[in-house]
Amino acid sequence: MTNYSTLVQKCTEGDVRSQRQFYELLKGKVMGICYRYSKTTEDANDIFQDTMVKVFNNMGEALVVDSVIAWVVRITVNTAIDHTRKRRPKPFIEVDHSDTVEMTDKEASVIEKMETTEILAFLKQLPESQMHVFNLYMIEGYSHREIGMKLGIAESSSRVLLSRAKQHLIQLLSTRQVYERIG
Amino acid sequence: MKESVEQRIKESLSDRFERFEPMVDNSHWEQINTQIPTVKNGSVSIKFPSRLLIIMVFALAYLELGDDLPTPIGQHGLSSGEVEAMNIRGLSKTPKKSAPVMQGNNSSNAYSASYQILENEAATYPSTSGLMKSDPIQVPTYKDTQLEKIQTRRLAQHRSPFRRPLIISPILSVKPDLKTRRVSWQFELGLSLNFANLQPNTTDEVIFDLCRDGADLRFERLGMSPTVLINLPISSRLGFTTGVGIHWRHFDISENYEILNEFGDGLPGNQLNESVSIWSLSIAPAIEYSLTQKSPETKILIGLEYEHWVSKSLSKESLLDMPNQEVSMMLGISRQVITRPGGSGYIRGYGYYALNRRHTSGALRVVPYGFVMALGWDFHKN
Repeated sequence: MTNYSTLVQKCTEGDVRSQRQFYELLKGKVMGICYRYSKTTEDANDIFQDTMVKVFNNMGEALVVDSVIAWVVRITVNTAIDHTRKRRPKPFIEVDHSDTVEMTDKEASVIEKMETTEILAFLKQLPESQMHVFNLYMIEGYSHREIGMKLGIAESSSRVLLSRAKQHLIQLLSTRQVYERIG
Repeated sequence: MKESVEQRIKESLSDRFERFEPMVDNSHWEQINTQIPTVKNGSVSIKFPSRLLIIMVFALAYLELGDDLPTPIGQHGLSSGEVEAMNIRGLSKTPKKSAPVMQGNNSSNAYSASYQILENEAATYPSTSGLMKSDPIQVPTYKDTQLEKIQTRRLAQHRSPFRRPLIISPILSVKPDLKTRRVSWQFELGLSLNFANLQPNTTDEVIFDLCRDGADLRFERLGMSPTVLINLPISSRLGFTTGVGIHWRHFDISENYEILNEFGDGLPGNQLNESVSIWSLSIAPAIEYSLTQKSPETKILIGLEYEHWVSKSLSKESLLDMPNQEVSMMLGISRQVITRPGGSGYIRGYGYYALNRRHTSGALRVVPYGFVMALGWDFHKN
């Protein structure tokens, strides 16, 4: 079990070895999040670097948080969303309402069997707004209200974007099932 | 039931990505490491790229951009819109010689000026500027002026109002940080592009002052301006700043001119080269208003600067007239464009308008106005 409080303390004091150690411990996790929120590897790399710089820049905050990892994850997610905003000033437009899409047990089972890389590939096929909402809701565990605040959209828009993402996933799963049957 | 299916998927995805840690290229750390401040004993160490940046920018101290190209000498038939014509009666032995009739055209930009040097020590001569030719002044030492020939000289056409529009000016400033004692110093390094109103018979390009809210070790062509900047916050957005600086500037001036004969024809011309060094002191009070309270910071600034020339050197044959006191008004905006752990990059723009008092004539004259752009890097711990 890593003692983050000691490590963070040394990082804030400018200890280069501790900074490197902190980086090595968290780089994989941060990059994993960056991959989920980016369409390309280049974008993921940019978000990764910006995140790490922010983390070290604001290391003092980590002294008072309950969980250093959760703090780093939050910075990563926020940086990823900011990154999208910078590239596209209005990435998260309001959407029309549509029916809520629910997934079945069978689809849940298929998802459980899917490879991580396969899910990542699916995420990259989604429009950025859907990709972010899917990530925030299904993986990070944010509520639609929280997502609305983060992305600057209505809570209802978050629901709609999630439904659309699910629709995409269901289509992908049905194709996959067809291939599995054929195979 | 539906809730539980969604919950099941969420848990599955969360667990899966909780453990998902892809390989990360080693090169990332190298790049990140350069942007992380390593704080030792309360100071911020500037790492290699920043040091390299300082060296590179200071190396640019000797560079200039602009259209300051050599001009053919002895040019005839200059068009009215281009010519900055000036007649100079030079080195005359006869005190009461009248100023020669202005040659060439009489465009609105043209200068009609005369330049008489008398035989006696306390010679008087009209100013080199047409705007102040009625201001005779004392010239202390011109003992060796024994030439009798009246020469009329005409400046070549390259002296357009924007003769040297761009000057790269690296800036290094040291600022006391009154807010935090831990980081007690800052560096500011800027690159200035100056768009100045330059006119014949002046060296106004060296007068204007840049980045008054923090420019403090400055090179203009070749020069330094170490300044102490005191920043007193009035409110969260409003602040009063005062900069006190010492300036040293050295620059070369090259004047191409024609010699006109009595018929007004141009004869093979000459070039007058000047090297000028100036010491001056300045004080620049200003009010700053921050338009944003978060990064990136945007500020507007309005202020005055008084600059007093302590010493100067200028050869006696100079066609130029130098100021020795100047008050400038300025209005500017600055904006952070990039923020990193080791500091922040900014862009600044200033318009200025100045009144100066000439060294040779003592005449108050409105001369320089222009616009300055500066790109800079403020080294500090965020």
